Amino acid sequence: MAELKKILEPRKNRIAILIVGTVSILLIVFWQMGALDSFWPGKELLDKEVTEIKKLQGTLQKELNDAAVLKHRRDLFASQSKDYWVPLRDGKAETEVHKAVEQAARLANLKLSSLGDIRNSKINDGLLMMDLSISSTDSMENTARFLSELYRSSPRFYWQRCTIRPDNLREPKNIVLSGNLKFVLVSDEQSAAFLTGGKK
Amino acid sequence: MLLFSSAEAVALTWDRHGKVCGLRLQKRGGIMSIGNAACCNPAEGEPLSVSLAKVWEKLSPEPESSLLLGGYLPSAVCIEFLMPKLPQAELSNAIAYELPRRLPTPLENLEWHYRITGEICKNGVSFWSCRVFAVQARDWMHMISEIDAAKLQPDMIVSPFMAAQLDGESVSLPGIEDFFEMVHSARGDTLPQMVSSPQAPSAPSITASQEEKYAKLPGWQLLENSLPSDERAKAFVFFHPALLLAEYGLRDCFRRDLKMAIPLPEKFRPLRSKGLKVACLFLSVSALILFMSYTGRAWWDARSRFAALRAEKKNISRQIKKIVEENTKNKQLDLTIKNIYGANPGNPEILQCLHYLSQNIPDGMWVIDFNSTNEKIEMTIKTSGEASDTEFSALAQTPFFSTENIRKRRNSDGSTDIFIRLLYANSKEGEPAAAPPLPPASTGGPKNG
Repeated sequence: MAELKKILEPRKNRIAILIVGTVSILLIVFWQMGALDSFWPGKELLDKEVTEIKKLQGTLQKELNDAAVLKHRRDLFASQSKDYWVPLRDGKAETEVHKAVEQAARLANLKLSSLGDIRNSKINDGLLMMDLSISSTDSMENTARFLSELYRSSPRFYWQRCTIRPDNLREPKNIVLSGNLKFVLVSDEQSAAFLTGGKK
Repeated sequence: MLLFSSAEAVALTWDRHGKVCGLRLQKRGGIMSIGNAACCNPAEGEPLSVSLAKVWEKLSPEPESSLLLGGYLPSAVCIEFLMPKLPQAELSNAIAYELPRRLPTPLENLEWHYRITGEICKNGVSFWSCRVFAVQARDWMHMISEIDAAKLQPDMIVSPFMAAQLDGESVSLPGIEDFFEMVHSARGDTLPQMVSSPQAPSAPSITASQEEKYAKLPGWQLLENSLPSDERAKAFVFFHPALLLAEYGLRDCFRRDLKMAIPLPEKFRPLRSKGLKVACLFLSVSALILFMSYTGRAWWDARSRFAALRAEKKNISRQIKKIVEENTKNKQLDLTIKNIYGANPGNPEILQCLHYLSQNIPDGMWVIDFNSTNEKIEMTIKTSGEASDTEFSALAQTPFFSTENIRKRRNSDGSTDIFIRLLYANSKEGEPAAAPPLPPASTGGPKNG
C-alpha cells in the first residue's frame, strides 16, 4: 500500500494512470460493442462469415447444377444440328426441302404419286413447324428404301401421319404409302447461330 | 524503485560529540541530487546507536540503496603510499607487510583495508597509489556493536577521508578529525597525506570550489532544512563527510572497493534479493513478451482468417454472378430448345418401327393396314386361323411399345382380323422420343400379304 501511495504521489504518474485507465476502459467498451471487429475480428464474426460462405457455396452449387443441365441440353441440341432446317445454312425451305424428298425417292427408285406444298405453323418466335404431304404407290422394297433414304436425309423428317397398306387386299402388288411429313425450321438468330456455329 | 543499480547511496556520519548527519544522494542520468537529509543531535547520555537509528528512519531510503557509515573513530588513520602493480591478493600481502613500518600499532591489533586511488608513473615505472584506512580493533568492535544496536546493515564502514577525491585540494573534517587533514598538492605530483591541521578545531577550512560543487546539487536546501535554524549556516560543514561518503557510494569504484573492505559480520549483509528481483523481472518480461507474441499471433491469425474468408466470399460471389449471367444468357436458347423438344412434330422412326414389327409378329400373320399418327400406331393384322393373345406377347414385352388395345374380329371365311393399337412408350418430355435400335440394313418392312 505504501509503495502504491509512493507511485501515485507524483502528479504526472496520476495523470498517466488516469489516461491508461480511460483508454483501457474505452477499448473494452468498444470491443464489447463490436466497433473493433474490423481491427480484431472475433469468433462470432468469423463464424458468421463461414456461415455466409456455406450459404454462398450452396447457391453456387445450385447454379452450377443448373448450368450443367443447360449445357447438357445445349450439347444435345448442338449434336442434332443437322436435324433442323436453318435457312441461313440450308437455304429456302419451300424449294430446297422438295429437292431433298425427291432426291430420296430417286435414290430409292420410288415414284412419288404426289408431293404437297409446304405449309408452316408457328411454334414460337423464330421456330416454325413445316408440313408437307406425300404419297406413293410402289413395291415394298422401294418403299422401304425410300423410308430409309428419308431417314438419312437432312433435315430430320417426322411422320405426323403415316399409312401403309396394300393396293389390293385380295391380290396385292404394290404398297400405298401416304402421310404427312414434318420438320422444324429454326429462324431465331441466336439458335440459328448456335446451330451453325457449334457450341457457344 | 531502484532495482539493479545503486543509483542511490545513503551515508550516515557522526562526529566526536555523537551528532549524526545523514543524507540520500541519488544519481539519475548522470546527475546527482540530494533526495533527503536528516540530522540528529543526541540527548544527554544517548548512545550513538539511537541517533543512527533516528536519522536512518528519517531518511526512509530505498531498500536497494547502498549504505555507507563513517565518522569519528578515535584511533582511525588514513595513509596513502605507492605500491608496485601487483595482483589483488599479492597487493594485500604487500600492504600488510608495509603497514607495520608506517604505523606504531602491531598489525594484529588493527582492522584495516585499502583502496587503489590511482596510478602514478615514477621514473618510468607505474605504481598503484594505495590509500589505507586502519583502526584499532577495539574501536572497530565498539562501532560494530553500536551499528548492530541501531539495526543497520551497512555496505561499508569507512573514514570519509578514504572516500575523498582530492584532485589537488585538501580536505578537513572538523568534528571527525580535528587535528589532521588530508592534504594534496595543487599540482597533484605528490601523494595525499594526512597531516596535522594548522587550524583550530572549531574553524574548519572549506574551499570555495568544494562548496560551489556541492551547492549546485539539486536538493541542497534539504540539508539546511534538516538542521536547526542556528546551525543552518554550517550545513556544509556538518554534511560534508556524508556527501563525501555518499558520492563515493555512487562511484563505479565503490563496488570494486567493497571486495577489499574490512569484512563486516554476516548479519550486516543487506538483504536486497537482487537475484530474485532479476529473476522476477526476467520472468515478467518473458511473460510479457510471450503474452504480446500470443496476442500478436492471435490478432494476425484472426485478421488473416477474416481476410481469407472475405476473399473467398468475394470469389464465390463473383463466380455466382458470372454463372448466373451465363445461365441467364443461355436461358433464351434453352427456352427455344425446350420449345423444339416440346413441339412433338411426330414419329421420326417409322422405318425402325416397321423393322421391329416384322421381326416380332408371329408367322402366318400379315399386316394389312399400318397407320401411325404421332405417338400412336394402329395396325390391322390378318391371320387364317385362331390367334391367341400370347402370340402378341413379344410386342407387349418390348420397352419401345406398350399395347394399348387388342381387338379381334372373326371373319366368315374363317380368318381373323386383329386390331392392335400400340403406343410409343419411351417418349420423354423435353427431349425427342427415342427409337428402337436401328437395324443393320434398313430394307425390311412389315409382313404384308
